[in-house]
Amino acid sequence: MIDPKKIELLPEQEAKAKPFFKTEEEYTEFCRKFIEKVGPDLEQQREARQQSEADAKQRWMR
Amino acid sequence: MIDGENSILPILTFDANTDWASLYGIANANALLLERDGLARLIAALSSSAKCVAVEREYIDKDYRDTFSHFHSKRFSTPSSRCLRLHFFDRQVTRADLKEASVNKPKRDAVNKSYLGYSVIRPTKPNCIGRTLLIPSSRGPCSAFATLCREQVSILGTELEIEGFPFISQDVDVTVCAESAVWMILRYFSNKYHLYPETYPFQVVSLTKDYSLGRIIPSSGLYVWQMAEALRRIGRPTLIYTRTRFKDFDHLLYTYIESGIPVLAGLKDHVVVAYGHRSNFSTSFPGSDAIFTSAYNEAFVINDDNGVPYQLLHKIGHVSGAGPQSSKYKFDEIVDFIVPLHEKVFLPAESFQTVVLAILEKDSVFGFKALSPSLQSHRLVLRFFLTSSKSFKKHLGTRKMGNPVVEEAYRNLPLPHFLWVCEISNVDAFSRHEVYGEILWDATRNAREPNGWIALHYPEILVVDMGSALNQQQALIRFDLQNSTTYPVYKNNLQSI
Repeated sequence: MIDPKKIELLPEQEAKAKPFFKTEEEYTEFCRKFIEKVGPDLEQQREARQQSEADAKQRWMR
Repeated sequence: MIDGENSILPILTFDANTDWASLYGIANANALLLERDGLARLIAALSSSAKCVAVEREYIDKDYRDTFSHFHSKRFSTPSSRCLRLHFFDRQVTRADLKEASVNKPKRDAVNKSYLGYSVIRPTKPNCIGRTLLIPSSRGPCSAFATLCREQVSILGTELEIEGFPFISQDVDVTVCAESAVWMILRYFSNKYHLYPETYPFQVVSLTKDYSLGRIIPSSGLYVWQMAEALRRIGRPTLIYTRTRFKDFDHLLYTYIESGIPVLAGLKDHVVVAYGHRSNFSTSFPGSDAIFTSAYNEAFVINDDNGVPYQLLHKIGHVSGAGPQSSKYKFDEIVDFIVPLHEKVFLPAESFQTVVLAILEKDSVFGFKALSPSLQSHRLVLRFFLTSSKSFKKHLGTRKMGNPVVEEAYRNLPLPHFLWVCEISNVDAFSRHEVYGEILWDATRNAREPNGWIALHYPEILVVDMGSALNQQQALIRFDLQNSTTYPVYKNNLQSI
């Protein structure tokens, strides 16, 4: 398996690029907060989609 | 002047003695094909551009022949199985020009340049306008953007190419507005991508036969969900949006159109195809929140089978003096819309908006306030759209992406088939159609995956996920950027019309 830290997007990448997160904990914390932030909106969207699909069964085009 | 009045292909050049009434006479020389209403629609669509019409008699139209075989031929009183096809030019084109153009490329290019497109005239009443493909400029000035497809057309053995959006009017028997609108979208897809089969009107009706009660022809219309199923069965899975259920309804409709996807826009009891927009980028808005580019939109470009091609459906309704090229409907009369997505697009527009704004505006680690001092000095303008990674990469060289590191990184980065893109600009730069950066999101992800983003680019920094690029766990790396500049917006989805 290729190590994502070793493969180069740019020539001599090592000098130009660095990992964004210093620790695994920082990354995990970012993911947790992200899911917390988007959760309510995504739930509303799921309901809106279901209701739209139900509406579509009643709407007749001629 | 009429050349070859009794020939198979009479050519009319409009002058003092020859006008649209002459076309009516020629078209109906043997039988009544071109109805008065049909002629009026052609005049409405083409009066500002057409100077010459070639009338192709005894034309066998694949779409009309399909409905003839499955419906009209079963009637006691049958119409002709043949049609007329009218070819329009913006200058006089002679029989000799057409003949020479078949062997002489410069001549063909010259004829092609003056070709406005064609309209098939069917022997169906009350709507005789069949398959029609006109170039957008045939309608006169539009100042809009739209997605278009190409077709090859043969006249007297000369092949011409045309680019436009397909149009057809309902024949009232096999097709009403619902089937006509679905046909227009399907013909667009089959013209544009080899992936989708060419679908004829009766086939469109047949696509809903497993989801119908009772007979399917003569058609009395379709439910919204039946239209959605018809599109899904041809390989374009759909999402349905109802205005009352989605608070950003107009913005979402715009976002899909901006992505180059034509949509079925449902009105109270009618449906049209929306495939472009006209925006006024000089509009200013009070407040300091980020402006979505949908806010600049003042009209959608639509095909309404009861009207003419390339109508503008304005935010405020019919614009007086704009004639039949202005739709009688307005934005808030659009009740719902159906968007036919590619089968590899799983993340819907509204979810992309939620996740990208969670990163850009609300996140203390990756937000522009944390990472980009330069983006904080002006009000942001955000543009959302979907595109294929192939097209995105194709334009890297011309766009330059504001920094050679970004251009090179994007060029090398393995990407999913489709990307959601949020372009980041400000009011000043966007008025010049330029941006400062973008966030790229994997369109095959589900919204609850925090690692769905592929890259984040601000003038000061590029963050790339090397993990997803290698089908592994997210591994974010950063490149600090210097001397970044603005660069052109991505333009491939729509064309200027």
